[in-house]
Amino acid sequence: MTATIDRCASADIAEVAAFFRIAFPFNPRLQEQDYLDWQFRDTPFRDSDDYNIFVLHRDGAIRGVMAYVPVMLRLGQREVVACWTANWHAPGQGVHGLRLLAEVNRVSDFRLHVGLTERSLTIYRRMSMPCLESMDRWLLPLNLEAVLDIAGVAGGADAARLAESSQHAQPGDGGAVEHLDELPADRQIAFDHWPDLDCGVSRRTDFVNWRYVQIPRHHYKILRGDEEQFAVIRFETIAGRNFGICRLLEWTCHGAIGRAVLGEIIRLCRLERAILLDFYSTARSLAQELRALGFLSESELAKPIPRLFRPLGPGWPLRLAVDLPPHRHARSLDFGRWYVTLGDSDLDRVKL
Amino acid sequence: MNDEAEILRLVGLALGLSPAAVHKGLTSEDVPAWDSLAHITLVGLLEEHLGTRFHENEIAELVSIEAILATMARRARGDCDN
Repeated sequence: MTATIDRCASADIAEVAAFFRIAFPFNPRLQEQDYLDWQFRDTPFRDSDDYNIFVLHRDGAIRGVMAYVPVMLRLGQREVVACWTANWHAPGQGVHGLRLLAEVNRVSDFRLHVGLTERSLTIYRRMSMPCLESMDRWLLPLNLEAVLDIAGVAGGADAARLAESSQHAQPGDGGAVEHLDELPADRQIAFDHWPDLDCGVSRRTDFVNWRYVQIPRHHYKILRGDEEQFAVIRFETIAGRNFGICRLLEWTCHGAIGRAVLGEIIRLCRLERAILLDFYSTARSLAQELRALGFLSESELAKPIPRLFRPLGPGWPLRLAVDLPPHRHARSLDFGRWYVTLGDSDLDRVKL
Repeated sequence: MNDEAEILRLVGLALGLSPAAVHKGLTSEDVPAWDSLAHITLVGLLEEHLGTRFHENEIAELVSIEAILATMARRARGDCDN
């Protein structure tokens, strides 16, 4: 029977949720309609009320899906309409997976693919997209003994590096740091103190509020040092343990304000029994900032710290690809100029 | 070797098929191994050996030998957008 690709209609969304239940069993949120509405319909830069999901139908059933989120993308001095892709899945469907991708490609000329499997990375690389094989992960151990236990590190150079880093983890008094329910509407977060950081999904406050405040059943905390400097964190319990970790999703803080915001985060971490702070980022300028605050790049460790905590699981490289016009022209891309974090994907969400 | 024979050879190479199994009527639906990854490998081989570059929107349409031949013929006539 002929395979067709259609945009997901409201009447299809329950069937899409059922497909996701099988395709992504580790993410039960993808089976909930309000979550799908939030991620794939009620987004700040939507251009219609349709779901941003393409569905492969065959033999009367959904056999594949590719979804996207419209975003605004900063490219130096200009800003363009772009999309993140999400949930590309068409197992056993021959080349129809590429047909799904072609549909998304027609939506926008500017595409960001974050959290790729090795297979997707190979496909994108062969399509001549610039790819990053491993996004830097930054770590700040807050409870050294527990981190060494989780990491299975008994001593040696890794233990020494983690110990050195953990000495920087000092709580602040929180005095100058605001806790916000949401950021003020219609503002653009600038990255003025890092002039070389001029590409990435625009941190318009509408986007930030959609991503971290409006998301159903997820609880992020927004901390602000001043008008332009903020951080977003989320606490996550570790399966089978009585402590957790803190995920840093956004960081635009600099200098003394950065130290104050980090101090407040560490204070909250102590209250929440978080043993580790981690942050994935491509940005070179942030790397310097984070290192000055005591963070350690995971690339400096011989053995990676587990990335999944519910349940505890191994780390893996976080891969991404950027697809800009002219397409299919090999080029290099300086990912260090890009501000991409786990917040540019759905990979930080609560898992089983 | 003309383009058609070369295309048949490259399809066999990309999909791990014997020459006898590759014919003009072959489509991706006939070959379980013709998945997205094998397809993009085939596209790379065609581009390298035939000296062409497919537009991104063409790639997913090259799902049969007939479609590949038709696209190459269109390109030979200069009837393409890149």
